[in-house]
Amino acid sequence: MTESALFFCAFILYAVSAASLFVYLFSEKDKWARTGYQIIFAGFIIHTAALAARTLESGHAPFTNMYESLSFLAWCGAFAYVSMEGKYKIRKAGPYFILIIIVLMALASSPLMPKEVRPLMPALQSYWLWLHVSVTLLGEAFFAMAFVTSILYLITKSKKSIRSKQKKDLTPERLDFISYKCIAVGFPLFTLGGLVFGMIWAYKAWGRYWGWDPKEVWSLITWFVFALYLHTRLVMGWKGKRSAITAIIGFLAALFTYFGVNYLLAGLHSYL
Amino acid sequence: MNSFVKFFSSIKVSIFLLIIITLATTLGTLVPQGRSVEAYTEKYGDWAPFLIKSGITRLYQSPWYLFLLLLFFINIIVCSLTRIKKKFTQAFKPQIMTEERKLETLSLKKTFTCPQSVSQAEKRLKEILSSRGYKVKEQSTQGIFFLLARKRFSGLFGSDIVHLGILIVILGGFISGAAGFRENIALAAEETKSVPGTDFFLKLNRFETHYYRDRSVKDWKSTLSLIKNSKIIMTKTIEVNHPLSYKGFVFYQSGYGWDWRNPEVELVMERKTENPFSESIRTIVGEKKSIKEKEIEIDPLYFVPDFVLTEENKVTTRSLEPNNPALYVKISEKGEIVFAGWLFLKYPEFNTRNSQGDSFLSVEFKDLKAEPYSIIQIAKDPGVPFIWAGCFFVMTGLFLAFYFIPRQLRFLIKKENQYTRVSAGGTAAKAKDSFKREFDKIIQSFRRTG
Repeated sequence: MTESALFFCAFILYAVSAASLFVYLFSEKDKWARTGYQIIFAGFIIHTAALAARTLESGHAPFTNMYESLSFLAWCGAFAYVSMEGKYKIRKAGPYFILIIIVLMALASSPLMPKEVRPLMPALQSYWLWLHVSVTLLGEAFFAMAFVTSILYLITKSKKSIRSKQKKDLTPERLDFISYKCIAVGFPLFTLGGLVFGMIWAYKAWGRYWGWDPKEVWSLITWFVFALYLHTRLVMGWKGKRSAITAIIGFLAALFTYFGVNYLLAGLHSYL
Repeated sequence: MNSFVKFFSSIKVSIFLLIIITLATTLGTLVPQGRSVEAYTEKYGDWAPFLIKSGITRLYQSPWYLFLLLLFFINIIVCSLTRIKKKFTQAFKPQIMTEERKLETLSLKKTFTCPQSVSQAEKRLKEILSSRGYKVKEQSTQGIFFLLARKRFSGLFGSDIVHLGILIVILGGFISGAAGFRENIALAAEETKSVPGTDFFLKLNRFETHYYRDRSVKDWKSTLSLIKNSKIIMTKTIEVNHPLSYKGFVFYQSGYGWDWRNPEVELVMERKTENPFSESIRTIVGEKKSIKEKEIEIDPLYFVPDFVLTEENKVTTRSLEPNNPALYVKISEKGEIVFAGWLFLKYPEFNTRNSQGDSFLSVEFKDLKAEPYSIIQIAKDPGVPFIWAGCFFVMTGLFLAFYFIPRQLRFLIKKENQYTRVSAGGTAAKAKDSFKREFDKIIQSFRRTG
């Protein structure tokens, strides 16, 4: 099967998985959650095959233009979901998170994203492309999950008085805990991929490890916000609402680093 | 001094500084950095002088931003130092003895009796704990045994190692800013230039541009030689992502270009009627050439690589890329000018028309050859080793802080009637779930053997 067919299959499976999990959300029957999990797992495997096919076809890493990068970010999201669900049972936060994956897949398949394979420009011909981009995007996928659980935290917290009966695995405390766990995974990954690998590659390709390029600066801003999250939480004992808001701001900064910088600020990273 | 320490050791000051630095850093991406005064005046009008004076237009090099970083630097040092003494005591001089009721205040606790003797129980417990990687210390008094079992205590210092790494990175940044140097030099093939600030020379032996099938650039390769006292020290072919390093100097493939001062051009002249002929000539811009026993004289006067007309209708070049090469030529026959105008290599349909009509003489711009040159960036940055060392500490520290969480168990074993009574308690700062599972397993495997 070709790459685009595999990509489309994965897209469909993600959508079906989300549907199944939404059914679970309202029916509270465990079988729907299990089915949803199995389907997204299948989608993840097929998506992996799509990325592998793309790599074979192009001969380079599958994240060198917006289409590839969005697809890869969606794949990282699926990975983050499958691993977090496996470890922490986040079921009821799942369908909302998968919506983000679906939005990424939809954006990637939009006709505005050129999909043809283009040869790699000189600056991108390096194994650091693999290390820098994949680790950074994986970190950002975990930030995205923390974003979803933080928003759900704020919603469930404000609804607490209305709905007396809390669903067992969606207590605000649990959501707060999962947000923290996601950031505990995402932060080291983002630091390693975005900042450390980024600096090493910039030094090899451009002759300086740091040049205050907008993408670099926004990665640093994102890093500062999550550093704030960790310090306020671990040293000052912030939890709950204020932590959730900080995590949301952090994700928005990461989102701007990924998308906004390319379209709004000119810089060296403008090819992606 | 005391109030200085007190101020900088406050976590609130750290948070405040972190927020201020984040906001300042953001500000630098909202205002374009390092442009000319004219560009700011055009964009911001009356605000331009303020932006320039306040350093916002060169924010990351401005004194106040560097001052914020310095405050942050001091804050990290003071915070770490004031907290580290307690951690050292905790890690290296722990209290082994404790009271039974203190065990009951710990988050994990269990008390039970077993049939073994006190010393048997103590021995068995130590076996189980060390098989799980715990280091056990013990003390006994009045027939009561105290065990302190701990593992992963290096995790306690994770955050300190991260902070040490950040300090080293900031230090490296300051060193780069103060002592780093970076310069571009352009070299044509076979050309040699001296490396600024050194006694050696850089020679470009060969420069090649490789293309993909769709004509986009695949790579630039420059074969460079370093020469000292007329001797070649080393030769290497560099390309993007593969620089040459020598004694702290790094040579990068940074760009390329063509020497447009006097490129070689090919012109084809043709006449269909009246003494028909067709002839191609090659010459260099600025050099006249005659054909037909000097009856026809060709004078290629000016050349631009990327022709564009300004608003005042003046010819200039848009870039240094040969996107639209154009040549201004004067042709005279028997001393009389018969053609003067622009010829285009890629768009001959826009060539200036021959004033005497097509039947007389036509001229076309057919080929262009310019000497390509390679732009090499020479960099020397003594801050770089600090940056890599700092990054290494940051990553090691993050790993320890998040995934190497100290675990501590305390046991109190004493004789009670004919049984042995064991009280156990444990604490972990983070990852409490998996710690509880381990705690339960330890108790279980102990009781099973009992």
